[in-house]
Amino acid sequence: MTAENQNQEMDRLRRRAARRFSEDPFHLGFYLSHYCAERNVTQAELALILGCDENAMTSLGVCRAPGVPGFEHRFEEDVELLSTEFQISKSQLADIINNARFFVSSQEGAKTTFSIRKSYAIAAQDREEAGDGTISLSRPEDPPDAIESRR
Amino acid sequence: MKDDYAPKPTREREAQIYQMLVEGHPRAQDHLVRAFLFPMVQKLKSVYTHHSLHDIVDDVVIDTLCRFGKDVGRFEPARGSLWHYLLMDAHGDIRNLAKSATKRSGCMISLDDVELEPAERNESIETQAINAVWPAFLEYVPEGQHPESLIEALNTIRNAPELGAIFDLWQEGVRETDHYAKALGIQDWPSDKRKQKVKQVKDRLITRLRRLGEKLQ
Repeated sequence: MTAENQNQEMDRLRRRAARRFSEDPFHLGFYLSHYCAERNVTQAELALILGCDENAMTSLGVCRAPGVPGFEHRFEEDVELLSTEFQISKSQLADIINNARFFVSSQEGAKTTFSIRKSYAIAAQDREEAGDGTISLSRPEDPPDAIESRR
Repeated sequence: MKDDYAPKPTREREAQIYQMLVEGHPRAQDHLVRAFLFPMVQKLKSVYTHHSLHDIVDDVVIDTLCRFGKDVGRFEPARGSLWHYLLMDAHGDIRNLAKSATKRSGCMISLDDVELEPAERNESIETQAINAVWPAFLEYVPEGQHPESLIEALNTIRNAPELGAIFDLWQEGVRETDHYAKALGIQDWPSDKRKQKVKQVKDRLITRLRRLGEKLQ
């Protein structure tokens, strides 16, 4: 393998690793990808926002994300370390991570609401099919809206 | 082939990365990937030579590094190098995948029907895995800490006629039939009989080691 081929292969593998790591909320790539998807920006555009090149984005993506469970208390310290290591804007990095975390938690909230509504719909269908006025065991006590209105 | 490997990280580099991971440095995973991904993939692809396994090797190594970066506590530096620890972890996953595929397809995955280097043509994926795992095991478990039963069993194999003659060659990863034939004293035999005999003795050795490995697990 020539040096050039070797470099190409290393780059290919690192990009593949970055894609895989970006599926895991433990890694920064997860939040960078969510940010790109929500704000409709490409990785190259995100690199410009942060002030680095695309190659650095690959490395940044496999890093541990600041503020993940077990490291919550080190968010600022981690952002500081990463911005120094990669020569990127500290405030932009913190904003991007915080925004992405908000998107992710919103999506998770939406998924939970959807699943509660879905289980209520299934329970309603069970009762309808039973047709004898009996209450199905899977029936939630109240529909989600009622729970919400009581708060 | 061996000269073609990317160099594995030095013990000093391993120690630096391990320390960063233990301290929770946010960039530690990046250093881990940079130092280990390419050499590990290259090493494993030299063992699992069939091209259809190459994507699996890429993914398994990436997953191994991803997992390890999150759970560094399961590695004990006193027991051996991080390189061998990670390599064995990845080997284990590839072997399991190969076994699952074997069960699913209902037949042994054989490399007979694929294009391989001549010396490896008759080796199953499992055999290739054992070939690669065994030296790594011996290196990971320092000599002084080998269980008594392992030393005894290895000595029995080393002292066995024929098996003992090829054990060191095999452990060093030698592949050429001629070297084995010379060790067995059959270098003057006709080529096909020579190959057949070498294969037979190697298979016996691998079977013995495999049984030994199963006992140790």
